[in-house]
Amino acid sequence: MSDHHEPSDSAEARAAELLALVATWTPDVSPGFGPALIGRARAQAAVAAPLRVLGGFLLALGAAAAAQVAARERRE
Amino acid sequence: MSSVGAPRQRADDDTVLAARAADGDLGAFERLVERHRGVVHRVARRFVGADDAEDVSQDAFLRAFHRLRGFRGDAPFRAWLLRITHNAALDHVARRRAEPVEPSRLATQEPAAGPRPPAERLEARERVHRLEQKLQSLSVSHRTVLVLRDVEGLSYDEIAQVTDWPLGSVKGRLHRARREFIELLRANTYDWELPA
Repeated sequence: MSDHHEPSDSAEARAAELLALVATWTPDVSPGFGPALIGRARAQAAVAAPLRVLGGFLLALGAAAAAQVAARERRE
Repeated sequence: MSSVGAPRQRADDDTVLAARAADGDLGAFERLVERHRGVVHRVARRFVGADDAEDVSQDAFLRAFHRLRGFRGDAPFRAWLLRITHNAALDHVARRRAEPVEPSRLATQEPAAGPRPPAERLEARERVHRLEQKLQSLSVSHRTVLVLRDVEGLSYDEIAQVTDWPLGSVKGRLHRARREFIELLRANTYDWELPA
């Protein structure tokens, strides 16, 4: 036997009222939130672009090396 | 002059801003942050608590920034962003799972509601703090669905988009979440005036 019971409709309605009370309260976001976030995004974007180029270069280098090894294996 | 045919996308639509931000326009990203930081912060706060809400919000926005090229506009931007926020909050909760939530960690900010007598305002603030703690005591999936539906007012469809749960599962979890929430309130010595 379970000690859990279905809450009544009125209990659910009261719970909904209490959650609505939470919804009415809007916590402030600190004034520095936006500038700090944009600064981090700018810094990460500045690093991400060269990293993408470097990644592309390394991929191309890997592909060239793999092709060279495959060609050598065919000759042998 | 009247506009006929399919409506054109406005320059400040989320989808347009997201596309511009994906192309490196940080001003467009800033507009998106201004527009959505409120809901991201509220969801993060009710998920992880006041102290960590801004860190989780920043993490969510940065994750979104790096994934903007993956945003196709099939779903509303807000749902896409809240999905990322939800995942960032889940990761945060997983990292600090062993830590109990201390009541003192909840901030003491003023409610945004209109002017009230001080005693009534203090009581309302105290109640909200206690309720936020109760929300953080819920299981993770129940916390998710209760915050998104009963606090933020998202539709079932939006919640399904945010969580990737089937629609029927959203409804079932919501029912169980409300039941768990009521049981948590009943287990408390504080009088929540819950009918039997």
